[in-house]
Amino acid sequence: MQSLLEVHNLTVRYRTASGDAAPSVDGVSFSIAPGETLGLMGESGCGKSSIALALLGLLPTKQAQVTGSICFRECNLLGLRERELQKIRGAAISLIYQEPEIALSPVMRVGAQVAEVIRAHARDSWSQCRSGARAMLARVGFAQVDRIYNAYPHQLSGGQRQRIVLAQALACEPSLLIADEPTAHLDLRSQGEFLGLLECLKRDSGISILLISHTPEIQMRMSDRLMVMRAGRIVEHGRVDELAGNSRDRYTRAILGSLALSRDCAENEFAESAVR
Amino acid sequence: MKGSRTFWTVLILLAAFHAVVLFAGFFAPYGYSRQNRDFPYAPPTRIHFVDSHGHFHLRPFIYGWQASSDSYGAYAVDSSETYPIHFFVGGARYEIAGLIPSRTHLFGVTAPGQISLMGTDGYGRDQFSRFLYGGQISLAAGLIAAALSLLLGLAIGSLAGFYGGWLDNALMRGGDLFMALPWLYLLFAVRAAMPLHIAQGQVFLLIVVVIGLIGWARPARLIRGVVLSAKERNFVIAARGFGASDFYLLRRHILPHTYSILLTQMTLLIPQYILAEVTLSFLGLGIGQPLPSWGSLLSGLQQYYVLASYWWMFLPAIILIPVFLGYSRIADALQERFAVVPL
Repeated sequence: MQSLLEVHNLTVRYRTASGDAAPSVDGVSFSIAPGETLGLMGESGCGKSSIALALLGLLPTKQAQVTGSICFRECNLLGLRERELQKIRGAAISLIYQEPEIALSPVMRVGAQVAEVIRAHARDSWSQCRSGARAMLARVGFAQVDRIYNAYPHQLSGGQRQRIVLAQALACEPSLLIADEPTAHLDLRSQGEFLGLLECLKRDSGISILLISHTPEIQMRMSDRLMVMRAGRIVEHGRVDELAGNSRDRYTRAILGSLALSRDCAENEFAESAVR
Repeated sequence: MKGSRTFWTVLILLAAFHAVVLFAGFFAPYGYSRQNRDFPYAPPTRIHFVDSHGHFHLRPFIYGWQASSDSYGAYAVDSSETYPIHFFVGGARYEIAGLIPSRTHLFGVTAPGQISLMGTDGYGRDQFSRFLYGGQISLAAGLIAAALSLLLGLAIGSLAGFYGGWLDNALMRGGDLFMALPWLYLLFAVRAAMPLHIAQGQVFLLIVVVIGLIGWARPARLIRGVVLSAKERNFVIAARGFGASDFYLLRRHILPHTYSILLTQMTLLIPQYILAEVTLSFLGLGIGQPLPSWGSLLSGLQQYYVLASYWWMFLPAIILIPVFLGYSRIADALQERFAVVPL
């Protein structure tokens, strides 16, 4: 099967005052097929977010040195100029940034923030963009679209803001969504709702997802294939069901092993709260 | 709540003052260039309700002046002539806000009586009328120059903050230079470089442009700070991730955070620039005769005999004090108000 995104030998080095530093992403290669969800997990600081930002050319060029190749539909993104990248960001590849809670401007109505994504890529008039944004808000599950459209971020709950960010990301029907810890700030219930919504939208549109999360439960539920990263390298790579059973890497075993344990705990907690 | 009430009171008073200046033609009983050579340096006219016979009049009136024969510019009240004050009287032609011609004035007395609430100058011109008309020029100079400074500061500050690097360094060092410049002497130099006789409009433009160009550094520095912190915020990075261009990010996501600074700086700069215009005109570098401006009203004080003998010539300066205090009160209140809004 033809892959949508092919990353080969991606290396990110941050320049420091002292000169050389260890690369935070070290020779990473992977590919994503159309309609596939690739999970990326690993502990904090292992380079997951650097990969997400590097894919879209969002790392500051002065401080970060990115080498390797990122082929999206057979076009190397690393060779593109800023203006060409702007056409791809949001339109073909969308990024849900880490901490989406604060990824919305506090001084703009959320509907306008969805509309501006459409506006940035389509040659539509503002009124067309606005109706596009309304349709998008309905798609991410809002019932009272007009009320939500005119709300400011602080008037919405965390889960609602999350869905606004998702609406922004999907507004231009991208073929790849990079979700960097999309549910880290949500409680279990809204986490479940959000992931359900994501699954549903994925079924409808056949979008590929690069899902970055260090929560094993989420990865087990969402991902087709899983990569485990540690200190800038990929230490494990395979289908989720295979990895869960027999994994070569001790680290992978450790985090996947904690899964059964934490699932039991969660069920116990639910049971207890139900009793109360 | 109490602070808020003071704020609104001050704001309304200031707005009223500006409205009076804007409609100077209506509130001023005379034109700004109308001379009355019979009454140079007449003191402020006193308004009476009770006449010399002890009768009370519902309509206020004024007495005529009798020029003293022994010394120039000394007057005695001539209580034999009374001139009742009429409201909404016809008089000299003027344009409402420079557009609609009209003849109605708020108040006036029939000639040969002259009502001059702030006295008259050496040509017998009514200082009150000249103060109001002069305010149009001085306030306009302050407002336009402040707007110019802020626009320049906004453009330079946001460029420096957004792009950083050598551009930031160059712009900010340039700003330091402008902050270190003694602007008064720079103005002297610029004025000296211009021909001696230029049209009043050009003088006005010159003053506004020079004052406005000099003051951009401080607002630019403040705006740069806000832009620096705002551009690292998540929603800016997120918007970039959705394909926003630099200009779009600046306009829609970063600059809205500088509006509070712009507003506060505006209220600080306007009185400062009004004062700059007043200083220039006082020194004779600004708006010249017969056009009035607050500075040129005060320029008579350069002569010692005016300074010593005619106290009412100070009145324009004294009236400006509460106006400037009002501006700084509003700047304070705005600063407090915006301080609680987290950026």
